[in-house]
Amino acid sequence: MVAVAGLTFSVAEGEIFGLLGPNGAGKTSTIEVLEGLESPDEGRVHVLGLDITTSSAQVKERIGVQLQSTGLPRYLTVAETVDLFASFYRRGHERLDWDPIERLGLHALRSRVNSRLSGGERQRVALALALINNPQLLFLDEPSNGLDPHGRRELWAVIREWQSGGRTVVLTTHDMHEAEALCDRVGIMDAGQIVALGTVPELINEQESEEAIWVQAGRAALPAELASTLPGVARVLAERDGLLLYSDDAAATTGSLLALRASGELSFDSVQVRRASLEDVFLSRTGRRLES
Amino acid sequence: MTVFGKVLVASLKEFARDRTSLSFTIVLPLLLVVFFGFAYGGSGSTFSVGIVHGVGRDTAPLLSQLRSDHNLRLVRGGLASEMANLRSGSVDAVLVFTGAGRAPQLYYDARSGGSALAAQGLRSITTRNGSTTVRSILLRPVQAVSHSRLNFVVAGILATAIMWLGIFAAIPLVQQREEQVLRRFAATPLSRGTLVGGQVASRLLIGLGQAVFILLAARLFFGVPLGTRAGSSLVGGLVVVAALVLLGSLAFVAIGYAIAALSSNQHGAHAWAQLLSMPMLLLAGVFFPLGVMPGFLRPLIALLPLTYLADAFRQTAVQGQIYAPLSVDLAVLAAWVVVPLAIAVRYFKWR
Repeated sequence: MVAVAGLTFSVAEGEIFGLLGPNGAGKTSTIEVLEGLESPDEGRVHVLGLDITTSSAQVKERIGVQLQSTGLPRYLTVAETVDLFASFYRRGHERLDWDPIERLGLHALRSRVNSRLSGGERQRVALALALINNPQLLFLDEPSNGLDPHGRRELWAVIREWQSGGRTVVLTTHDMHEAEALCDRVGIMDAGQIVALGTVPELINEQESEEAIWVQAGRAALPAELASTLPGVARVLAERDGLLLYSDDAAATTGSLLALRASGELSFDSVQVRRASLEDVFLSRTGRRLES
Repeated sequence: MTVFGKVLVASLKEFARDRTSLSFTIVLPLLLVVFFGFAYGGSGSTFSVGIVHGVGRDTAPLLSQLRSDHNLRLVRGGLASEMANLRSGSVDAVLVFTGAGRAPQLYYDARSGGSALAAQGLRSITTRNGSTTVRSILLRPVQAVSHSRLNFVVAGILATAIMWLGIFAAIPLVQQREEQVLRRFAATPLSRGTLVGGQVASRLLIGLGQAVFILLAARLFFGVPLGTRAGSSLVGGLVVVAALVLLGSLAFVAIGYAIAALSSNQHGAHAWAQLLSMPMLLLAGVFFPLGVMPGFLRPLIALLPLTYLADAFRQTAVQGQIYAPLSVDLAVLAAWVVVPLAIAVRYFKWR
């Protein structure tokens, strides 16, 4: 089975690059090739200027990795785990200008056994391990998996702070808010392909329409044919419980929608106007929603 | 500390905190020592008797009398070999016929309860017999190295504990694979050789600790000597025991790793570990002497690594019957290192 094929992209030094896509899009397969955990059948992969298939040992010395599953030895304490992982690298954690244990608030957990950590605590330990060798390049596979909104914002702050010293981050996410909030550039993946690549503003501006209007239909049917004739509407996507309209003139579109409802020609529950997002980029490239 | 040392120490800590492993390697063997200590502390009801020069018309009535006694098992042999058997504990007494018209002599080990009982039993039989040629029987106590069924069993328990230690090494390994710990290690510069080497070395150290623990427990509670073969020094004997512990641990860890390589999850690994260790426990002469095994099982018994490890321990640490020469024990155990290791290397999956 081919998980990913024909991917071409590069990540610049000092940027946060995100691979965004639904589960099964091939994000993990892609990042695990970059981490040297999987070898590609074809093509060339260079990480930190080194060919990953021939120089994986040197690459592993200089990268930090957080896998999707945290993979912590069950019976070791947090401090022992950190100490063990630090010993694997020539660049030890004592040379860090930035102590991951302190910054990630793990001090109180030092003597806790890994199997007794909560999901969020495990994620923090996993991130600390990824940073233990002061890597030039950090790979994070779904880093906010299982975190509550507060934990997620904390994580974003840590990643930004760490990267601000000119270091590079490659992460995967299925959450477009995370990609928009955190990433300098985004590669949108679907079915083993990169379907869109660029900075977040670039990708959104490539859209034909600036604004998206969500019309919640409720029980009454809303004919898509009628909606496409409304002023300003460039594109209509019929969903199960409503219509998504892309409009160049949101004021005109919503105005006529409300007028039609007032005259009884149309029936719907609500209208929401928002700026087009990465969700819409994904929708326009694949015809499907990112989050369902 | 080197990376190897760090992996080794981490592996020891993980072992010590895993209650399942601990119960199999320390608690269960200790319970077995205690159980068999009480069960075999006295003597069993069946005795083996070595018969020397027992041919001719005048000895026939006594021998047929002895043969018809279900509590006795008669073994024929030369004087030297039967006396050696008595010293090593494989026979409880030796009956020597010195010539027509002369009283047979009964040799037994005065320090062994079993041997003394056997001698008493034999004396009463020969007296009841009323044979004209056997009027009396001379009792000749022999100074033998202490031996008993308990010695035999302690060697078996030590071998069994090492078997469990090695075979059940499969479980944490598969667990680490399932929980992606191995994959996380793979994303670091840690080499596979260092990882496996450190983990195996920790098992070997645990094996040595286990041996000290079991032999000490047997000595403290039941007076089974840490013992050496008659004539060799205590230290020399212990070095041989330690070497055997290492070789045995290596063989069973290799088997454990082969199990880990061939099973896709922890349930499978558990099933394989049980499937391999249970028959060995019953068949390898650990708790029941190999002599009582039916003939059709002999070829299977001759393949089991536990047969040879228990046999080797019996020959060095404590005394007992010999299944194969020590060199054969060592060679078979070495083969049990190489073959499972090859399987593990060939089929092991890191994710």
